[in-house]
Amino acid sequence: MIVTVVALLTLVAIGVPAALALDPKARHRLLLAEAFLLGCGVIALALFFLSIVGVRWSLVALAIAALSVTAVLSRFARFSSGQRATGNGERIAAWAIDLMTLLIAFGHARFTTLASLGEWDFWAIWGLKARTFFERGGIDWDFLENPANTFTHPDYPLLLPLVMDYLTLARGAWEDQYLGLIFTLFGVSTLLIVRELLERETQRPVIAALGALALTSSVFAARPGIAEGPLAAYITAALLLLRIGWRDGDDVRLRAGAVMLGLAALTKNEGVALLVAVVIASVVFLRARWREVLKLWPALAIAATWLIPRALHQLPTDLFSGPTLSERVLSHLSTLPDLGIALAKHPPAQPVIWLAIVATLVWRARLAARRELFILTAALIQLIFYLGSYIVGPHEFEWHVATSWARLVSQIEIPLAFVAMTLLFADEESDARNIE
Amino acid sequence: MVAGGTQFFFLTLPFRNTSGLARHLQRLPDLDAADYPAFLQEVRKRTQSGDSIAIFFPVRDWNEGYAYAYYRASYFLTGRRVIPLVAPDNSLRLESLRDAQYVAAWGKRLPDQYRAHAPSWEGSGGTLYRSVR
Repeated sequence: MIVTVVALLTLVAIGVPAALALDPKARHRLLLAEAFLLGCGVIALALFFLSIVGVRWSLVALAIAALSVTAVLSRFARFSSGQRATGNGERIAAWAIDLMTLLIAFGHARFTTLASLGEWDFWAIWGLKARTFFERGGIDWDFLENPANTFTHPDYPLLLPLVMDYLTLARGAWEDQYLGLIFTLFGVSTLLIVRELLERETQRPVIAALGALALTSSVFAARPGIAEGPLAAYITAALLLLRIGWRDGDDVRLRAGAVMLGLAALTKNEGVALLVAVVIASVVFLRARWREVLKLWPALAIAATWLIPRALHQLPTDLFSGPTLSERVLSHLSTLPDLGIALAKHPPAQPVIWLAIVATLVWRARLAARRELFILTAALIQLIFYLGSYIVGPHEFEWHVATSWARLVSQIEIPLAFVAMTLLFADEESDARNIE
Repeated sequence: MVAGGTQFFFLTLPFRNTSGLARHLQRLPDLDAADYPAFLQEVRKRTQSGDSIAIFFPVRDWNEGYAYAYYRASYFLTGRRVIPLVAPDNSLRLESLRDAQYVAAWGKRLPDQYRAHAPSWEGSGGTLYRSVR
């Protein structure tokens, strides 16, 4: 376990220059979270490009590649005086609450390392790919292209398997017990982002600490071994940074959010869908200034690093494949009420959080529409994409919804909960004056 | 929101004896085939990267157990070519045995009259057969 912990700390260290280069205003918790998320991105892309150019993976080769990137980024890293939140009087109480959250994270780390990762999707998809690539010493395109391996979803992006490969390289051999720590750290990153930005938004450390504590069930609900937790971390970072970027005209935060969005697209196909949703939502938000959506280009560039090779290798996706696609769609459309029934039978895993989100959005509808148009539009489009995938998908509604709906909505649960929390504590009148 | 959203299970976990939970989690993926992972690990030790290994399992229904056996074998036998003998439509693919250097039979032995592969190791509820050709 020591080796894994050291490797994870090294990952964070690799990510610090990237975080400072990308988001010089990031401080404390936000800096730590961004460092981990970007460190994972740097490592994954380094392994990916080593494989593309035909260099067999080794710790030495990876260290050279990653440190080269880090050295370049260090030249652009800047410290700038960040905004310091007030509310010092609440700080001790906030720290006490944060201690509880930390204890929960520690409990999660304990849980994920008690045994070998046992999720079906770990040993049939994510872990299987990581193990196969590690033995090959690089991405095994033959394995991905082999029709016998379509059960591994070869079209899925590779960030998570590549991060697992980094830890495996550090250990020198495959083991699947301490890999669980990755998922704890992705959850912690999500909580750090929420904690930091909530405090900046509300200027109330206790409220921010309670908000992070309230989201521990959502954050740590994702089963370790699958990509939901990592994707939720990148989606949360992307949407909350882009929200600040568009709202405040902050190009630095926009760029940081765009990079996180690109890394979300490298984590799961739902991240690619979110990229599209964000572009549309940005155009809706910007209206006459819609050309500013081009500032999101880093997201497309990062996503393309997987989408282009995927297309070149013709890796199949089961969603849009098959000669019966049009028949499936027509058949599903004719039984649409069954989708509603299935959704009613299988609610989200955190019903209290979702009830609070919906209740707040209804209660503060005017303020939400005025202040959160971008993020709510992006979330709504993403939900439509999820439902659309059921109409296009190869299985019956009941199976699809039962096996995926709770997972899918958990991906956007945190940013929506964040928005609900800020709406709860927003001063509607002063907010309206600020906007005017 | 705080009461409904706080993850109390993980909050108390560091203070509890977790040995029972650890045993349960370790067995969870293989509840109906407890020795299967140990068998596959022995098969891995006795085969080389690139070897072709067919999976012979007592369950012939894809969704009721064979998919589990095939995917689990794919995970433990990375680097080898894992060959399913049952298709997703539950049809048998016994002709694939011809392509297999090995047959990993767990929970059930190959029929005695089958001669193309001979037993080379036995343990953890299964038998590893090697091609005699």
